[in-house]
Amino acid sequence: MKKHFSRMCALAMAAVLLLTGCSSKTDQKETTTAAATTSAAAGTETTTAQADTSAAAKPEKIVDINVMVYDRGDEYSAGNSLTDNELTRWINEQMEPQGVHVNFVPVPRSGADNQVNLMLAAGTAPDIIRTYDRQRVATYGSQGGLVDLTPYMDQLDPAYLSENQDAIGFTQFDGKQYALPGVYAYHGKGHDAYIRQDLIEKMGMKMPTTREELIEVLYAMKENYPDITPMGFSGKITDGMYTNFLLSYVSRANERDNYIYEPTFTTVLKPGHKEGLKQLNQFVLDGIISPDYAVDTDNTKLNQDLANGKIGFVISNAGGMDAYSTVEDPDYRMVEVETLPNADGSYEVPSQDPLSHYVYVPKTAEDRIDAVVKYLAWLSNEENAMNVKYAVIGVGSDMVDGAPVMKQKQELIDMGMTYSSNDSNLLRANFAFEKDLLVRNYKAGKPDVPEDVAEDLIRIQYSNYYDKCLIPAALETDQYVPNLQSLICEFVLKVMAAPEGKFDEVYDKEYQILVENHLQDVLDERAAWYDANMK
Amino acid sequence: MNSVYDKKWSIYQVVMIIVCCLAIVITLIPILNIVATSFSGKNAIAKGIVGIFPVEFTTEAYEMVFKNSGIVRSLFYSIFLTVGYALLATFMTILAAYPLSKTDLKGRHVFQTIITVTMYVSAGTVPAYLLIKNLGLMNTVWALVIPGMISPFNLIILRTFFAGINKALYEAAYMDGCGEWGCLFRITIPLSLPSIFTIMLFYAISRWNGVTDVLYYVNKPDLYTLQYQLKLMLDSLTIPYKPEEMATMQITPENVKSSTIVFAMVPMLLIYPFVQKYFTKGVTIGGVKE
Repeated sequence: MKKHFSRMCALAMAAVLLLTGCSSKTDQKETTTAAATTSAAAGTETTTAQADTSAAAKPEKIVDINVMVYDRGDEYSAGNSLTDNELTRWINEQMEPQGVHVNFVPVPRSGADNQVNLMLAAGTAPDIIRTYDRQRVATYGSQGGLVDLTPYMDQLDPAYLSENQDAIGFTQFDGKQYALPGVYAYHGKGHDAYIRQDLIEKMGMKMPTTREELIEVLYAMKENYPDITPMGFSGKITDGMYTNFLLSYVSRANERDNYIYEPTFTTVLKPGHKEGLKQLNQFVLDGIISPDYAVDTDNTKLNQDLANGKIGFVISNAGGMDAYSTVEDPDYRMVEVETLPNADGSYEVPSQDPLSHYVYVPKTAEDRIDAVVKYLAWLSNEENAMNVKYAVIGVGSDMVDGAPVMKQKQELIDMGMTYSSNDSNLLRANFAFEKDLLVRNYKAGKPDVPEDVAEDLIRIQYSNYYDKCLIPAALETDQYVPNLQSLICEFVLKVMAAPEGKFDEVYDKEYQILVENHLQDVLDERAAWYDANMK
Repeated sequence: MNSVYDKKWSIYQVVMIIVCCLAIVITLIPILNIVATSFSGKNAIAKGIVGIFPVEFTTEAYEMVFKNSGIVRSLFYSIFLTVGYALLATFMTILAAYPLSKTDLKGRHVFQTIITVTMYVSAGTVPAYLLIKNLGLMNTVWALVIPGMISPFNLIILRTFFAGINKALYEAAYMDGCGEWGCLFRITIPLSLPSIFTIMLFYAISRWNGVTDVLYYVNKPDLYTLQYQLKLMLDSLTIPYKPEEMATMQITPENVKSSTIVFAMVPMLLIYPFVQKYFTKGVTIGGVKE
């Protein structure tokens, strides 16, 4: 009896080992990768029924394709979801007559690239993927993981191709079309600067038009308004708050330097940047920037100060415009300003890149590439893109003065529609009417901002910008860039905080860390590429 | 006889009480802030003036959460999943711990060593993902249940506890003709209830709070757990969005975020007091040796 039991136990133990083997790993890992594919069999072909007369219009075969869609945890009414709602059903009504059924694969917006990375490794990635990461496309493409879309370009909408040639050029790597550009609705400045006009007027000064005048205004604010921080800054690891300031110390005259430094955050390391850093350091030492800026790592304090009207000047943070609805001072007037001409005397600053995001097709989709391209071609058509972006005109939006206006969020939810419909609009959002409606749309989101302030802001945001010189090839040292980007942000934040009289020492020490992390290798390879291809 | 409460407090006791009170306050303040934020107006939150009491009181955020069918569905699904998983995982762990607690089990040390190794060594994300995919568990509730059904850590705790039960009880049972199943259900389990409830609580908490496996193995919104829904919602506020997205997306307000956290916290807060007595017993009972 006991012997029999022992054998049974041994067998049971073997089964247990299998289970424990699985369980320990789920306890340990906490990365932002992973997920699954849609249950719909990718690429399976199903023959449609032809029982009635209407079926005669349907194609004989419908090919399933899987398309990535961001999951933002949005709210849906009963019976609807991110993957099955009025918009997805409408898209399939349009696509099925063409023989394509679109399954939507949710990927969490946060950590989307890592999750897609895992799916690519497991061979379960969607057939159409989007990313904001240029380097990722270059790397996957050079490793042979992506479909070269060059042979299929003529199937796309001719207007999409002709209107977005620059952007399409930026999605080519070593002559291969590894992605299609998702084009911005508006193309404008990457970062904006805002200043308290009311305080400047109260001090009897004029609005600053140069860096020197700006510095004078900031020091005057410090003296006259001790409860206000003249320049808003935080310790968040991002390039927004300092880039335009540092670029006011550098020149764009040398094209070679532009190609070497402008791709990615290295742009702030152009020759001349050190003087700019020294000035920011002086700001911290003099209290123009709060000495505690580094501990505000998520902008909480900065945003609260902006909402309370306690910031005089800030770059790349529109919180001062939202503050029109929270600040109690009736004279409060935060406006967008051009006050930092660069070393060439131009107010031009880097734009958002010429495209919003990259849309690529992994090699696993090659066996159904015709269906994939059919869907991309459909999306590249202006009317279709407009319907997707505006949740189907006449359903989720209404035409007002020749332009669609989305219904209110709750109304969209109640009708089973998604209110993040633009996430499915992968290729084009630059419709002709958008530019005329910039002020109206801006005011709709920020009704308390005065009309003239909104008009000036739109005028400044969409003028005086340049597209950075990007290298249309996958370089070997690109692998170091993501890490370097964070390190460059840390470098600036640390050098700014250098104690009195120790600027050079801290600068040299921190710059050396960048060099140790392949900064020079990256710059050298870009220089070599320029010399080989552009000279 | 004097009670311990009649004695004068020593300085040590006073210091300890102050330290413990401080620890409680430090733990409670963030929770109170979340609760206060969930009942506060958007402008007050933006200005950073909400402390532990609501400012510009409103229940708007809770109305939004309760209207969100996805969140409510996820709540019931998570409760079902957590209860089912905790029961199943506890049962499987008992079945594994019982034979391992027997000193006469052949190869016991080999099994134990192999089980312990899995606590420290894992195959990695991609192989695990491929395994679940090849087993056909993707997008099923089983992907969230089977891989974590037996935790080596819980198994070892339970095995150690079972091994401490007096052998004379088993010998008496065998003499009376009781088999191993009878011993397990009539002696081991009744004598180990505090430990079993503790293990069950461990399992329930890990399932309730777990999001990683949902992220990996599930992409059907119907199978999202409450915590995963919460993560998606919180991420929509904290990650740096691109300007293009900012133009069109509708951000979840901070008070809705806080109300969802409270919503996800309440079920565990309600259950905890009822199982806490077992929890304390289960953790401390092994410390006393005859």
